[in-house]
Amino acid sequence: MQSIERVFGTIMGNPVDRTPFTLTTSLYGAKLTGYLVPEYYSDPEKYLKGQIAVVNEIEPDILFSPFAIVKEAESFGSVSIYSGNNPPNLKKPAITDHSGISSLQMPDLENHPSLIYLIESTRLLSEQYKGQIPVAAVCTSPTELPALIMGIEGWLETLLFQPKEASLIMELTSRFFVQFANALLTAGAACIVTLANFSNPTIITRKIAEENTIPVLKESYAQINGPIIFHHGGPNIIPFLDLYPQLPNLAGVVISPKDSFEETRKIVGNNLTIFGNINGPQLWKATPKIIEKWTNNIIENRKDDRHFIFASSNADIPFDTPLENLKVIANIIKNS
Amino acid sequence: MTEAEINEFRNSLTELIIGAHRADAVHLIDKISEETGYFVAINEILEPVLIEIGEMWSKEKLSLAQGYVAAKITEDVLQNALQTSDWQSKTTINKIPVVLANIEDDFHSLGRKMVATFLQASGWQVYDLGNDVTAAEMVDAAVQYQAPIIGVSAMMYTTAINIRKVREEIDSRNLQDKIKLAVGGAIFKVRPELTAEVGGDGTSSNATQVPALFSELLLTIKN
Ligand code: B12
Repeated sequence: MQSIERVFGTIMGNPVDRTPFTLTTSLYGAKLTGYLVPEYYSDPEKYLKGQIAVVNEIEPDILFSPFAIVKEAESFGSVSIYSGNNPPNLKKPAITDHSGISSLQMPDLENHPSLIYLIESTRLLSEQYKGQIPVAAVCTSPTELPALIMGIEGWLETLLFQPKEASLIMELTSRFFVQFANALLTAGAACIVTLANFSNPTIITRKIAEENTIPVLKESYAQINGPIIFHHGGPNIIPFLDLYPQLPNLAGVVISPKDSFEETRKIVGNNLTIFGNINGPQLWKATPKIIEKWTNNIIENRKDDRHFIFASSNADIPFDTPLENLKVIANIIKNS
Repeated sequence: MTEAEINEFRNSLTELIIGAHRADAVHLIDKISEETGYFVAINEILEPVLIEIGEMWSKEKLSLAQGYVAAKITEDVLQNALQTSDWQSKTTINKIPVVLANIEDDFHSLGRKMVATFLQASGWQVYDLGNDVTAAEMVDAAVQYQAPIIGVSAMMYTTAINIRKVREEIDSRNLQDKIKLAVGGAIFKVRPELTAEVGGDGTSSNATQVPALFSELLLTIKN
């Protein structure tokens, strides 16, 4: 069975030969190829080579487009910085408070180098593994992107105290999200993974979710021409999880190591695919023995779940993670 | 104020902060201070509420948004208090200076700013050096202001490891008994062992708990 059949079979709830799995190895491709991080995140050919190395070593069932979300914000005028072996980080937001919102312009999808890089990497990767491995394209949710355009402080201040301006910037980021996500799908991505920290209880309140962010997600998700996987980014989502299953085009949710599968199932029902929940950022320091145990526990817990895809949760798998640690997971799953 | 009144004010303020009612919360403290002065209103009402908020926050019962509102309310109240002679006369003496900064290459200032606000409310004299500050600049400032504590913030692992340079700078000038190094920021919450790795003397997971941490660190200073 090809990975793509395994993954979409699982999403449809059809029988498959084994549990599909994926790890957040966008950054890790740079380690495997030895490319410097800044060149890896600016040259689509290098990104492709990094991901080919990931396939050769680990053979995941889903690959990711570059997970470097600051690049989206660069197209709005934010400036990023590289330090060490990390994805780019925000150095200077395009604007610092709500007074700048009206000066923001819709980025040029076809000509901005950062967007060309993201779309082109997606296209090369999708072509390389066409009919074999689906590519999930990473895309920042319209409720989150403002944190990278105006800084998290500017965004919190606006979201909490300037409702009109908050709507204004989300109207812009929604338009961008729809166009950008659809461009990634046109480039060959099989689905979109939206990052949405501003949906989880460690960042916002339930009231903000209900009144400010969910309506925006609903409207923008409805305009996406493909399936969406929802990634809340935080340590837990359960207290708010009931708010999300109704989102249009939703094919799955990524849960975190602190969220329980049983509770998630109870809340989302039987048909939504759950992704999770080994702790990606912690894999660097765990021993292969411990990782084996974590993996087996998850597999055992989900053995009767037809809508389950094993995945690493939270942010990137760190650069300094030994390859052996990732191979343990791959081997257990491939032999299950 | 009677004990019952104090409790009632504290409860109302907690609710207002949790509900993100910034203006109403500030108004409540202003009203109380009309009777008691800001020094008492802040010490008896705001501070204990912030400690409680900090505890709820560290147990993930509150969100960043609510922590942010607490910081903004504190900032607003401090600004009003600063204009009164009551606050000025009672707080200008014996203020202990501290230095805060985001480490070299780090530009995630929100955590640091929130820390600064809560420290000021607890009566510390904060010298905030801003983002992307080198180890030497921090230690120079601590020496200049005679600050017994340097608080350094970092969000990502790759910038946090630069904090080692602050440790080395303190040690190489033989100031380790006079200056304590507090560290914090998002990455310290997900990699708790990092505090020791960069040579930090202590950390805390949210800004409202930093004044307590600094008080503890102060006790370890050898004169
Ligand atoms: C919200 C969030 C985001 C948001 C907004 C981030 C922002 N600030 O701009 C978005 C979605 C945009 C984002 C993006 C990314 N993120 Co992020 N993000 C987070 C998250 C969930 C919270 C960070 C945050 O801003 N909190 C709010 C601030 C105010 O809190 P704080 O910094 O912790 O500060 C508090 C305390 O720590 C303390 N404190 C702060 N300073 C000090 C100093 C002293 C002395 C003391 C005592 C205390 C103290 O008081 C503060 C207030 O309570 C963390 C995980 C986590 N649970 O913390 C990951 C995290 C920071 N992100 C991470 C990553 C990898 C990224 C990306 C690189 C992803 C990517 N591949 O593109 C990008 C980078 C973008 C950028 N910021 O430049 C990783 C970093 C890992 C690493 N190895 O360094 C983390 C740790 C997630 C993880 N589990 O691995 N992120």
